[in-house]
Formats: sequence, C-alpha cells, structure tokens
Amino acid sequence: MRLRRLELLRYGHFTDRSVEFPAPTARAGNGDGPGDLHIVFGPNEAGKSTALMAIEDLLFGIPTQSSLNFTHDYKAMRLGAVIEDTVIEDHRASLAFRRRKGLKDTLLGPDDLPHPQGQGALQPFLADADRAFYERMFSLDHRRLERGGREILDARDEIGQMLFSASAGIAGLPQRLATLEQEADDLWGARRASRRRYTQAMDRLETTEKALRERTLTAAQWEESRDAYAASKATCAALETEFEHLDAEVRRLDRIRRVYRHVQAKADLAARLQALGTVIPLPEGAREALQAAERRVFEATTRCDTLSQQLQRVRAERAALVGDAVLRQRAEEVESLHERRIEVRQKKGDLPRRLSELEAAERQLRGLRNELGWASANPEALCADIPTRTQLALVRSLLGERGEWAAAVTTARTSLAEATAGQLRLERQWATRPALRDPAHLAAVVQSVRALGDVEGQQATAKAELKVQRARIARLQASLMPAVASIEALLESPVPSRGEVQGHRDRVQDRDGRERELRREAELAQAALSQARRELERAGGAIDEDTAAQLQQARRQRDALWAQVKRWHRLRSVSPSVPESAAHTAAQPAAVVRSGAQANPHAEAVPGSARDVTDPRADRELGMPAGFDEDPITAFEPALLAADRIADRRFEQAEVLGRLAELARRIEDQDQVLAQVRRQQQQLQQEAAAWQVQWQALWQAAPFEPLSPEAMLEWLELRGQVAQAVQAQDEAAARLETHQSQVHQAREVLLDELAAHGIARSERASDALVVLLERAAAVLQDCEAARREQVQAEGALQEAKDDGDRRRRELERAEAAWAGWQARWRQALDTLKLQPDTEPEAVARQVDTLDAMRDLASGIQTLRHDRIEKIQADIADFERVVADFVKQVAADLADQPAEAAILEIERRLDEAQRVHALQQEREVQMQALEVEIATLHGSGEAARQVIEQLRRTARVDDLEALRAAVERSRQWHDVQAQWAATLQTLEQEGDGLPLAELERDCTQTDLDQNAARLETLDQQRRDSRQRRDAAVEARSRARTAFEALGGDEAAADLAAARQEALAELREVAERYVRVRSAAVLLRWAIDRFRRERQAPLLERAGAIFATLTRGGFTALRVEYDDKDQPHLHGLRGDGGLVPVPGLSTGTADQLYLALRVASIEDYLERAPALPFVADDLFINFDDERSAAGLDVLAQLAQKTQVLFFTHHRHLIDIARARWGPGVHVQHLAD
Amino acid sequence: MASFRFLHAADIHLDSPLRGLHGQEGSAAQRIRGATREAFGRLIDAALEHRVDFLIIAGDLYDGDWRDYRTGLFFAAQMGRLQAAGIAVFLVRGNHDAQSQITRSLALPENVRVFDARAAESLRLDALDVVLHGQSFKQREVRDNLVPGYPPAEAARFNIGVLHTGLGGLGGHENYAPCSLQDLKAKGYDYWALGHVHQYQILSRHPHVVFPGNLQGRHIRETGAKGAVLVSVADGAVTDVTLQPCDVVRWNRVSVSVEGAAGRAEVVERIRVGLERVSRTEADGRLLACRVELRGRTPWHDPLVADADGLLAEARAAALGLGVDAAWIERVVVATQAERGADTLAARDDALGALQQMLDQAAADPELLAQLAEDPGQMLRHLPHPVRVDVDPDSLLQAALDEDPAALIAGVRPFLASRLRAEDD
Repeated sequence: MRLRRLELLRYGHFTDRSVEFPAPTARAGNGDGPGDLHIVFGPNEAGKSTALMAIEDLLFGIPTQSSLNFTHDYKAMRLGAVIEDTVIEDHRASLAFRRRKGLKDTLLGPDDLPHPQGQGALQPFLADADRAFYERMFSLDHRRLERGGREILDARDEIGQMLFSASAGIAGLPQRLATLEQEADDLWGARRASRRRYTQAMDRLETTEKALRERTLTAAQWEESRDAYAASKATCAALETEFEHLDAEVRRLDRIRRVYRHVQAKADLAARLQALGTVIPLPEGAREALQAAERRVFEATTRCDTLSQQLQRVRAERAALVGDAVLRQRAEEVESLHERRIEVRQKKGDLPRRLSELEAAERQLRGLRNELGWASANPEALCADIPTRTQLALVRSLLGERGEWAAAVTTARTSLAEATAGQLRLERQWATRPALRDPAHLAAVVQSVRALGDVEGQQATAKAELKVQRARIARLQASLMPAVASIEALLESPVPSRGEVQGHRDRVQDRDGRERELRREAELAQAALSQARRELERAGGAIDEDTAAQLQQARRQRDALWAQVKRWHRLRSVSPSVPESAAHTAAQPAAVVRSGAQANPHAEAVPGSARDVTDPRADRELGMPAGFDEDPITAFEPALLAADRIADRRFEQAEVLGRLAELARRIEDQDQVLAQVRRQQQQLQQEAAAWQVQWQALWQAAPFEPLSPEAMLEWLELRGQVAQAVQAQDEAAARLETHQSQVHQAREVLLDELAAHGIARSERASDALVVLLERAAAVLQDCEAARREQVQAEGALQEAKDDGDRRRRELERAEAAWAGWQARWRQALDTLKLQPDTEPEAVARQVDTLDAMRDLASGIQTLRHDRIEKIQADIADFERVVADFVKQVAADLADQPAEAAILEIERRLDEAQRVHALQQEREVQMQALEVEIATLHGSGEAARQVIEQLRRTARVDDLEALRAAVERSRQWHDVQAQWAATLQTLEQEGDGLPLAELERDCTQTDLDQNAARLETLDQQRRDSRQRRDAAVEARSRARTAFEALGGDEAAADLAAARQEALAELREVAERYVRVRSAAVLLRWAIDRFRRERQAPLLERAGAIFATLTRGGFTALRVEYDDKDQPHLHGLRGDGGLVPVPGLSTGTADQLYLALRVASIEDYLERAPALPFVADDLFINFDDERSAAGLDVLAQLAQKTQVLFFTHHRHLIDIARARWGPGVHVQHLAD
Repeated sequence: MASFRFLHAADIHLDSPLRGLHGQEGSAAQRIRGATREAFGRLIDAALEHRVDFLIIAGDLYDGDWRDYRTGLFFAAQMGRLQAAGIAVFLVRGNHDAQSQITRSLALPENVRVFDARAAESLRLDALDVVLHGQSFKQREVRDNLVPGYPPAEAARFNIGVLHTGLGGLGGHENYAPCSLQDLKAKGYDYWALGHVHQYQILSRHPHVVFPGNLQGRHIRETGAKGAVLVSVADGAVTDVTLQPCDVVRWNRVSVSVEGAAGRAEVVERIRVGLERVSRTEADGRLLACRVELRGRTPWHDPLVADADGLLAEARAAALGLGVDAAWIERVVVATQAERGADTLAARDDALGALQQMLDQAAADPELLAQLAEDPGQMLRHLPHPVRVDVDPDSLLQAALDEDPAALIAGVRPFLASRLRAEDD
C-alpha cells in the first residue's frame, strides 16, 4: 500500500491542507533513482509532528483523547487520503476515504458519509496491520534511532537481542528482559533472602504454623487443666478448715490476754465508789465553772476603773477643738471659684494675640479692596459690597461653557463642508456607471440544469450498466445446464413453477430419506437377526439336552425301583440285591435300560413281585427290559440320584432355556420386521417410478430433457437471474436514452443563454455539458456581482445625502446654543458690575479676588465677636462673683484682687476641714469607752450569779464549803467515768461474749500459761496461713489457667493467618512461574531467532552499514571466542575487525538503522508493503552521512513508499544534488 | 399434631479458615478470620429470634483435622444459650466429626442429643409429636447405605430423618453413606434433614429432602448466600422451607465486560461499578469476597495481561473505596481478548510473528524443557505440600506442577506477548 494523497482537512491547526505523494516515475524507480521516496519539509511550527500523527490516525483511527482538537473540535476533525495498492497488470487499486473521530463508522467516503464497508474497506490495503504493529515496524524517529544505537552498545555481545530488537522494532528489549528477570528474582530465588516475597510469605507460614501448634489446645490438655483445678480446690478447702480452727483458739487466748486487766480494774472501781460514801453530784465541770466565775468578777472590777479615767481625758480634748463652720459649709462654691480662677487666668493670657490677628486680617482686606478699586474704607461696608457666592458660581459656569459652544460651532461647520464634498463625488460616479443586464433568466437556466444532477455521469453509468448487464446475461446463458439456444426461447418456453419443482424435489428427497431409513432398518434388523441367531447357537450349545421326557422317564424308573424296594422290604425273607452293573448304570438311565437286559437270577424267587417287575408293559414304561430282576435296593439309589440330577440340571438351565426362548422370539420378531421393511422398500420403488413419470410430464413443454430436481432448481434460479438481468438491461437502455436527451437539451439551452450574454456559440460548441454549466455559472456570478455593486453604490449615494442634511442640522443647533450663552454672559457681568466687553480672562481674575475678600471678611467677623469680646466678658463676670462671695465669707479680704482673695479663702477652708476631722475622731473614742465599761459591769454580775447557783445546789453556806463540795463531786464523776470506760473496753475486747463469761474465763486462766500457749498456737496458725495462702494462690492459678482455655479464637485466627500465608505463597508461586517462564521462553526464542535469521539479516545489514559508513565498514562479521560465544564485529576496509562495543555512538546508530532497514526489507519479501515513515533521522549526521542515509532510504523506497519528514532544508539540497529535481519534495508550510 | 418450627443446618466446619484470601487488613481481616465462628453465632441468634422448637445439625460440625479444643468449648457455650431458651439440639456426626478429637471428650449441655454411631436410633419430642431418626458416622469413610437400617416411620408423629450422605456423589462431594433419593422417599418420613453437600438444594417436596448447604462459604467455589433452613410444620405437614442466611463473608464471581473501555482507568472504574452492583444486590450487608473476571475484546488486553498485579492492586483500592468492609478481591482474572488474536500475530512474518511460531514448537524442544525444569522447576520443588494440593485446576501453577510444558507455554504466551507489545515507557 502507498499513500497517494494525504488530506489534512480539519486536523490540528490544518484546514483543507492536501499533501500529494505522486507515484514514482519509471526513471525514479530504476534502482539508481530515489524510488518512492518523498521528502516532507516542515520548518518548526509548520506542523510536521501533526502530519506524522495524521498518517497513523488516518489509517487506524483518531484516539479518544486526541490533543489535536485545539482548532477544530472533536466532531469537526477530519482527515482524508487516497491510498493505492501496488500496480497489478496496469491496474492500481485505490481507495479515497476520510476519517472522522468517533467510536464507530469513523471511516467515511469522499462524500463524508459512512463508508458502506466500514473499516473493512481498508483491510485489503493494511494487510492486518494495527497501529502498534505499524508504529513499531514502519515508523522510526531520531529518538528511537538513538535508543537503538545505545542498546546495541549496551547489549555488547548479545547478538540475539540485538537482532531480535532491531527486527521487531521493539524499543528497550534488554530492559524488558531484565525487568522480567528482576521481577522473578524479587519473588523467589534459590538462596533465601528476606527481600523476596516468597521468603516473606514462607516466614509468615512457618511462624503461623508454629504459633498454631503452640496455641492449639488438645482435649487431653484441657482435661489435664480441669483436673488440676479441681485438685487445687480440694487442697485449698482442707487447709482453710485447719486454719480456721487454729485461728479460733488463738483468738480465744488472745481475748483472755486482752480483757484480763480490765476485769481486775472493774473490781477496783467498785471498791473506790464504796469508799466515797454519799455525794451530792454537781454538774461535771463545776470546779472549773466556779474558778472561772471567781476570776471574771475580779477582772471586771479592775478594768472598769481604768476605762473611766480614759473617758474623762478624751472628753476634755474634744471640748478644746474649734473650726470655721460657715466656710466649711460653702466648700463647693470655693471649689467652683477655684476652677474659674484658673480658666480666667488662661484667657487673659490669649487676649493680646487675638487682637493682633484681627488687625492683620483687616489690613489684608483693605489691600484687596484697593486691587478692585473700590472706595469703601470701613470693613463692615466692604463686606456688604462683596457679591454672593451664587452670582460668582454663575459667572464661573459660563466661563467653562464658553469654549465648548464655540468649538461645537466650528466642528459642525467643518463636517458640513466635508459631507457636501463627498456627496458631489458620489453623484459624479453614479452619472458615469454603465447599464446592467438582468441575470434572472440565466440563473433559472443554470438552476434547472444543475437540478438534473450529474447527468453526463448518469449517462456514463447507464452505459456501463448496460454493458455489465449484457455481459451478465451472456455469462448466465453460458452457465445454463441444460443449455437453451436463445434468450428469447429461454424466457418464452413454458416451464414448471419453482414451487412445483421444489415440491417434486422434496418428495424425492423425502422418498430417498425414507428409503435410506428403510435400508438402515433392514440392515439393523438383519444384524439383530444374525446376532440373535449367533446367541441362540451359543446358548443352545451350552446346555445338555435334558428334556422333560428324559426327566419323566428317570422318575418312573426311580418310582418303579422304589415300589420293588417296598415289596422286597415287606417280604423280609430275601435281602434285596441288585447286580453291581445295575447300580453302576443307574446314573445313566438309558444305559440301565440297556444293561438291564441281562438275566436277573433272583427275579423269579420273589413271590408277589414278579408281576410288577416282570410285567413287560411296566418294564417298557420304566425303560427296563423284560425280565428285570436285579436287587431293587441297590438299583434304587442311583436311579434316585439320576432323576434328581436331571431335575437339578433342568432347574439350573431354566434361565438359559428362558433366554433361548426369548432369542427364538426375537428371531421371529426380526424376521417379521425384515419382511415388513422389504415390503415398504418395494412400495417406495413403485412410488419412485410414478414420480419419474410425473417429473417428465412437468417438463414436457421444455426444449430439453430435465435433469435432477436439484439441477433444475438451479436452472430455474439461473433463468430467474437471466430474466432480472434482461430487465435491468432494458432499464439501463431506457435510462441511457433519457440521459442522452437531457444532455442535448441542456447544452442547447446553455449555449443560447451564453450567446445572449455575449459568448458566441461557436466558441463553446465542443465543450462538455458540465463545462458549459460552469461557464454559465461564472457568467451568472459576474452578473450578480455587478448587480450587488450597483445596489451598494445607490446605497452609498443616499447615505451621503442623508449625512449632509444631518450635519446641517447640527450646525444650526450649535449656533443657537452659542447665541444663548452670549446673552447669559452679558447679564452675569452686569450683576458683577463689570463692563459687558470685559475680557473673560479679566473677569475670571476678579471673581477669584472677590472670593478671597469674602473669606477674609468672614474671618474678621468671627475673630472679633466670637473670640475677643467673649474673653473680656468672662473676666468681668468672674471679678463680680468673687467680690460678692468675699463680702459674705471673708469681709477682711474685700480690698484684695479677686484672684488673691480666692487663694486666701481656699487656704482657710483647708484649715476648717482639718479641725472638723479631729472633732469626729474624739467623739468615736468616747462612745467606745462607754460601751466597754457597760459590758464589764454585766460580766461581773453574771459571774456572781454562777457562784450563787452552785452554792445553792451544793446546799452549803459559804464559798469555802462550796469549794470542798465541788471537789468531792469531781472525784465521784471520775470513778463513774472509769467504770463506764472499763465496761466499754470489755465489750469491745470481749469479742461480743457476755461479761460473766469473760470474768469466768479470766478466773479459770493462768495468765503465764496462757501466754506460752498463745505463742505456740500463733506460730502454728502462721504456718497454716502460709500453707493456705499458697494453696489459694495455686487454686487461683489453676482457675485462671483453666478459664483461659475457654472458647477464644486464637487458634482459629492463626489457622486463618496460615491460610492467608498459603494463599500468598500460591499467588507468588503462580506469578513466579509466569514471569520466570516468560523470561526463559524469551531468551530461548531470541537465541533461536538468532540462529535462524542471523546469516541473511547480517549480510544485508552489512551492505547497508557499508553504505551508511561510506565504506568505513564493508560488512558485518560474527566471530566466536574460546567459549564458542558469538560476537558481532564490523569489518573495516583494510580487513580489520572492530567489535560492536568499540563502535562510536554515531556508528552504533548507523548499525541500528542498517539492521532495521534490513529487517523491513526482509519482512517485505514476504508481506505486503506499507509506507515507511522516517522522522528526522539524520539530525546528528554530517552532510556526507546524511547523503548516505538518504541513499539507504532510497534503496528501501525501491520496495515500499518512504516518507521522510524533516525540518532541515539542507537535506533537500543534498537529495536534489543526488537525484536532481526528480526527487519529490513537499513543503508543509506552503 | 402440634405446629412447630425448627432449624436445619449442616457442614458448619466451625473455626475452619477461609481459603485463597490474603492481603486484607483491619476489620475486614478480622471478619474473614472469624467468619465460620461468627456465622455459627448468627445461627444461634436466628434460632432464638425465630423461637424455634429445636435445631438439627446434620453432620460436619468441625473439620476432621482440627484439634483446638476451644472450638468445642465455644460450641458448648452456644449450646448453653439454646438450653437457656429451652431449645433442643439434635446432632449427627459426619465424616469430619467422626475422626474429630474434639467430639470424643467434649461434655455438652443436656439439650444436645447426639445420634448413636453403632446403629440408627430414634429420639422423640413427645410434646410436639415429633420423632427424629438418625445415625452418626462411626469412622470417616462410611461406604454403606445407612438408610435401610433407619427405623420405620412412626404413625401419628412427624418423622424426621437426619443423615449425612453423599447421595450418590452429588455435587462432586465424596460419596459417603451412599443412597438414592428413592431410598429416602421409600422410608415414609416427612422430612429428610441431610448434610454433606455444601450447596443448598431441595431435592424433593413430598416428602421434603433438603440439603441446607454449609453455613459459611469457605472458598471461591462456594459462592452465594449460605445458611440454615428454617422449616415450619403445621398439622403434620411442612408449610414453609426458607433459607436463613448466616454467612459473614459472601463469595461471589463478578464478571466485568471491558469492551469499549477508553483506558485502564475506565477498566478499573467498571470493576468498581461491578463490585458496587454486586455489593448492592448480592451482599446483603456482608463482606463480599470476589473473584473479578474481565472479559470482552479490548485494545487494552495487552497492558491488562502484562500488569495484572498492578490491576489487582488498583481493583482492591477501588473495592476499599466502596466503604469499610464492603468487598475484598480474591483475584482478578484477565480473560479478555486482544483485538487481534494470537493467530493474526503469528501470521505476521515479523520478529514477533516468528516468536509466536517458535513458541508453537517450544514444547517439543528438549533444551527449553531442561531450562524450565531447572527454573521455575526448582521453585516448584520447594513449594510446601499444602500449596501444591490446593491449586486452581485451570491455573498456570497447576500446569507447571503437572509438568505439562504445552499447557505451561500456552499459559505464559499471552503474558509474554503482552509484555513485548505493551507500550514502552
């Protein structure tokens, strides 16, 4: 396949760009020429990369995430091309198509509609290539070239990898192989390493298995733990009992030891109570109460005396203090005057400065008055003469508008002049325009002819269709069997309908099917019959011929002998005997019969039995000869056995016999089946004969003998196709005639119309209809263009007139506005008392002066009234108020200045306030002393009452007697308290035992012996406690251990963890098998590829390498080292060998290119060609090497199309120098 | 006759671990690890919730080689819960229980009654007019038909047969205590409570012959809801049989079509959507353990095959994105097809085509076979026995273990081709 044209319709920044790749001329393809090499030159930004991408997108579809939608959006993106196949017998198959972006129906026809065959239309050209394959095999850029060269150097002596990588166009093969092996090594290795996943998983497995073993609780372990717990409980219970016993005894002895002293003390207290005799019990603490009361009486008396003296001294000090009460009452007024005094002093300081400011302002106002030339000397009058702010603002506004109105008038006048001139120019042009011709008729003619469509094409199509149908009819006629002389005879001869023939065929097929079935049934029946007969034969041979008659006969003989035995037995005179021969032959009844023919010497000697035995009829029935007279007893037993044996055998053979009977029935059935089948076959043969007659009758009118129904159905089908072809031929002929007529009429009409527009018929008489139509369309376009120009000129002229009128109106408006302004100006000047002719600039200055005067006048007013006069009023008011106040509170200061008087009054007020504070302090002291003296009086009285109360209670007369009574009461209380305490102690220490029991225990106990016993028991108890505690601890441990065994799921968790480790191991193993096997397979395949392809590839690559290196190297050689390892070398012109690792980087690139080109050539030997796209391969090549590179591409271009994209202009020069202008160059930037 | 309800469970395999999962962490790992135990807890919860009159366990309560006695203690504790609620339990021992060391010495509460292994016996619930006939396995391999030894049906009672049987090798299970459906029907019982087959199925409705399946699926071949059967009986006739799901982790195969996917990200997104769909419709609030199977013809076949491990990691991340403990992916099986098949590739006469053609003959090359026997053969010889005996039969690992070079090479070929064709970085 080659690309004839690439259309970048809407793709990247391209719009409707077409790149042609014409087929090579014979000269170009003669081996020395450039062949099918095309250089596509695109400087930077010209879109070289876009065009490269377009080729793959065109052939294999635009990717979903294409980045080339920056100008045309995804829906609009279009590529197009014309591709063609190799030349075969002067016919080059080609395909014009477009490609849009999408998911389906992306292959379009030239009309932008989905191609009927879809992507399948491209398949014959692409030869099963897909994008990846194409990119890998038929595309090479500078980056991949460099990488290939680098890999060659890196691969060193790995020729296999080098060849395979270059042949397949796979970049990074060594890395891929290394990656595979690294992945495998990360998973597993012969040596255990913790970084490997297999090792990690194996470690986990081992760990979990070990833990599982440890954490698995067996039934025996559980029972052992349970038993241990039970034993520890029993031990613990026994020790606890022992301990409790010891503990009770120790506690008893210890109790006696504790209470013994208290029991004795109780007895002592009872004796002391008795000794005290009768006592009047006073309240507890009576002694302390009495002593305290006596002390309080004494202290109260002493203190009262001291305090009375202090009170008298303070009263005297208070009476000596005197102050100015009047002034102290008016203290607030003094404070107010103090603040006003400070304020007035500040204002007096400001007054001279304000007076000088007033004078300066009045001086400045007078200066401005002089500028205006006003006469007023009085500042008040001057202020009244200054115009108002409104008047000045009006003048300022008018000054601002003046320029605007004057400029508007000037502009409007200029615009009007320009519009008038333009209108005159257009009017002159209009007057000189030529007359126009009406194109309406011509347009109608062109439209009607276009409406016919591609009538010439249709005419050609109809002609081709006619030709095709004729050829088809001839072909169909030739293939008719039986043949028919002519088409007319074929179509006119009556033939049976297709349904009739199909019906006949179906019947025949049905009959044939039935016949086959019958034949099969017959064969089956015959086979079954044969089988049954064979089985019968085998089964029949397997049994003895013991018939029922034989059995019956044996039984008769047995019964007869039995009768004789019975008879002989009844007689008892003669021992029954049977000759040995008879017994011997009894097993063979038939033989017995025959041997029994010998004379029996005893037969006649048995009376009464001779008739039975010798009865010839009976003998015959028994099978015995007449005169049989043997010993019946001897003969009976064999006869009995013989009869039983026959019966047994018949019983045993009953199944076989049954089977024989069954086989016989089967044979009979199969015979019947076979006969039935044969009858049906005969019927079918008769039916066949009848249908053959009917078949012949169906075709009686036909001019031939009918063949089989299948053949005749085919014949009918062909006949139908012939009829269709004849009809199509007639239709094509009719269409052809119609189209010819339409073409003629259209031509005539067009020629007439062209003549009407000044084109002579003779000039166009030989043109095709489509040419005439295009010419008429061109004339029509000219007419319409002229018409459009005329309409535009009319519009422009009218627009110019309208513009002139509009500008005139604008001038009038501007002049009116200017006059209005002037009137208002004059009025404003009058208001300011200025002359009407005063220049606007002078007016502006005077307005500014007036504004300044107003501001000054306003300042003077404020200074005078609001500042100076106000200060003076405040000072006067202060002095008046002070004078009044002094007169009321300090008349002695009336002659002092106000400020000095106030200062003195302030000092006097401070003194009055200090005296008043001292008076208050003394009064508080006096009150406190009076209260304290009263309190002491009360306290002494209360103490006396306490003493009196105690005396009455003790029933004594004086204080001394009271003191003795109080002491006896205290002792009584003391004994009572000890008594209660002793009882309480006994209760506490007696472990709840009754007092009597405690006293009894103490009475019966020797305290010394008790101590010794207690010590012994306590030691025993400590020992017991230790043993008990140890047992409790052991029981606790056993219980903990046993309870810990309960249903936790540690082992289950570990089992699950073990399964996880196994699953991971399984996954790692599977992954390892995949990756390692892939690496092994790839290495094996690469080596095998090297062995199989090395020789031809290296030979051709060597030649290309020689071209690329300009003879620096002449060939490639494989040399083997001592270890039989192959190494690739370059052969220099002088015969020297350079190993691949010794090549320079650039030469390695050339070697890679040589191998790639050799591989592609090798591939093209066996596969259809595809365009090879090379993208700026020679960036790092000098001119000489670039020329060599182009030579190599030209060699490849002898076998397939080569598209060489570059942005280096000098490569074009090199190509042209090499092949002249014959080399095809496309410029993307054009 | 009285109306009553009972639960019929079997093949509980208590504390038996789930197989084929690894890599999960956190609560998901805990749920997976304790799945069979938690499922059994749910069974007991269901019995209490539905207030059933009794529970039947038709064999294989434990795994035969499981020795941890705590499992038995856990079981006894759960039985204690039922005893407190007055629910009787009837138990036959199956092939796994028969050799379990746990069953031999474990003391069970009084409500648990175990059928004798020496001969079939009948246990009665007089209050309900129910009689249960059953026989435990004496040893692992019971090859005799036990049904003829079962007592005849008792009149005026609801007769239940409890039996652990392979029923003629149903579902690929070992055919222990073989019998036929006709044998069971002929016995005249009202309900046959069977065990041993891990798939829930009702084999007959007159009388009812039911396998409840196992309580918790333990590997990818045991997919779908698992649990026990709740049976309602009214006036001596079964009125309803319903599966009560008890499983904690539910196994599922998720088939995802990647046809038309715009890239690897969309493939992962489709996996996520597939998981979300299955999680929504099949999980019923449980943790899903999924095997994702990618199918369809796609241009992304090569990258997917070449980096299946990366895809698995991304798919697991997508699964985690569905929520805590929503789903875990056991494996991602890339069963997609390239847009151009291996035949097309082999038909090309370039180096890769030559590679494919060489691989066609590779299995016959003794030199290559020797290399493969060396490595990965050495690794395979190191592989622990438990791994070797539990390998997916269709897997590459099984082909390698079988020393079947043709199958091994056929399995590796797509991967190798994809690695070679995959986009260069």
